[in-house]
Amino acid sequence: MAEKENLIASMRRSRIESILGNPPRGVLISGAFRRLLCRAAVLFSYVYFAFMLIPRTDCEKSHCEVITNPTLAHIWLLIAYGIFATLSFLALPIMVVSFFLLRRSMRRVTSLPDEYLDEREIANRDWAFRTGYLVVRRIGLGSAVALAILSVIGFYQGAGWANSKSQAVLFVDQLNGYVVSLVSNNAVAFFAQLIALLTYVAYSFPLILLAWRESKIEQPEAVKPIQPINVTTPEPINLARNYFVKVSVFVAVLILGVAIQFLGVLLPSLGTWLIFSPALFYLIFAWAGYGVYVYIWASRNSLKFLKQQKSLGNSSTEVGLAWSSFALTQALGIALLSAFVALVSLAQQHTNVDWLGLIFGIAFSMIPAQVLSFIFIGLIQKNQRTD
Amino acid sequence: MGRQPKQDKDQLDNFVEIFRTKCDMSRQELADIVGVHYQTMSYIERGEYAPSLALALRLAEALNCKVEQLFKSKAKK
Repeated sequence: MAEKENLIASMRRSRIESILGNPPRGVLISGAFRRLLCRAAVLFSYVYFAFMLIPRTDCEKSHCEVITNPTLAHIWLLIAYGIFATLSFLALPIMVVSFFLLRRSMRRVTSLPDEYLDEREIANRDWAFRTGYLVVRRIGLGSAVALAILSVIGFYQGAGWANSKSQAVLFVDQLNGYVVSLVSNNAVAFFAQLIALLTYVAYSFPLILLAWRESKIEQPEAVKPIQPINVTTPEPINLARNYFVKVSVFVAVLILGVAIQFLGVLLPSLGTWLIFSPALFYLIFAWAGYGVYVYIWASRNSLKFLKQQKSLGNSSTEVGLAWSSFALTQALGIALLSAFVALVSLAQQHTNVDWLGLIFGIAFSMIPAQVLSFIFIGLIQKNQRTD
Repeated sequence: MGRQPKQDKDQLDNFVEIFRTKCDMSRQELADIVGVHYQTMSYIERGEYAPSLALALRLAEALNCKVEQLFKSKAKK
């Protein structure tokens, strides 16, 4: 139990150290950039939501009619749909990037415990999260009440108790038809997107409020992180420990994915769902994206650390081995990129090389190479502490 | 919906910037002494944030003056 508490406390401390050690710099502390991120997040959330509300069946009908009966109105409709579809396709990455940049920009205020913040920051953070909660709560309540009223009207209509020609009944009829057309292609995907969008709003809205309020003063934020009152100075960031936490998450998701695949073989219904559900692809993309992030984060920080060791004149065996494993990881990274470019450019040509297998092979050999590099970095840090 | 504007009686005239300049201190230095973020000092000096009593006392101590010299209620005028 005590060990578990120690682990949690150590992870918490490591997170605090990481936030204090890497305050946002450059464009991330510019008020104008923060406002731009807020606007992008709000605008593209609306674009994405509006695109979700276009009935797919109508669009498919227009596609068919353009081929069979190409009128100007159908062509215009298709062009408008194409532009909107492109915007909504761009919306998702823009929303995700805006969220992560906002999070990075406001991370100190949103993630540090109270003792590391001053009273204004605590008040602003609490206000933003409280307002965000109230807004999400009101959206939820409003939607629930509206749907409940419509359901009651629909129930009366179904029971034949109401005048079937009343405006309310006709409206519910039309609404039912509209909702059916929205979900007719893939109901699971529609509701998954809706829930994901609501989750995005719940996560990003407080950040947007906070960033907007904090962007009022244009002077650059102090680069030096403030020290909490009556709190001891944290130790230097434990780079190796941070890396192992990140890589453990990556490997754990991989193991979980493999386990789910095995389960899919055992349960045919789950297997069918896994093959046809876009959820699996989203997960794979998210996992691969996280892997790229861990690789870039680790490469950047290990290079910085090793350069620092060089400037300190540390020429121990561990430093040499850390440099070698770092170089090996980078070489594998370049090989992976080259194999990926080859896969894309030679996709139409028949080659005897299994490019996909090669890509996976290189990617998986990068993990032990980078782990090795961080084992040596960990040893260097340990030696420095004992010195 | 929306935030209520602060009433005049809640707003304060503050002389923090004047006292800080007299003491030949930068905002960052004063912020470090009283244990707040640099931006918070900017907000206080611009009158956009009214500090708590504890912070006001710390500011007065750092600037070698009394709290009532640093902050005055606008309603008194």
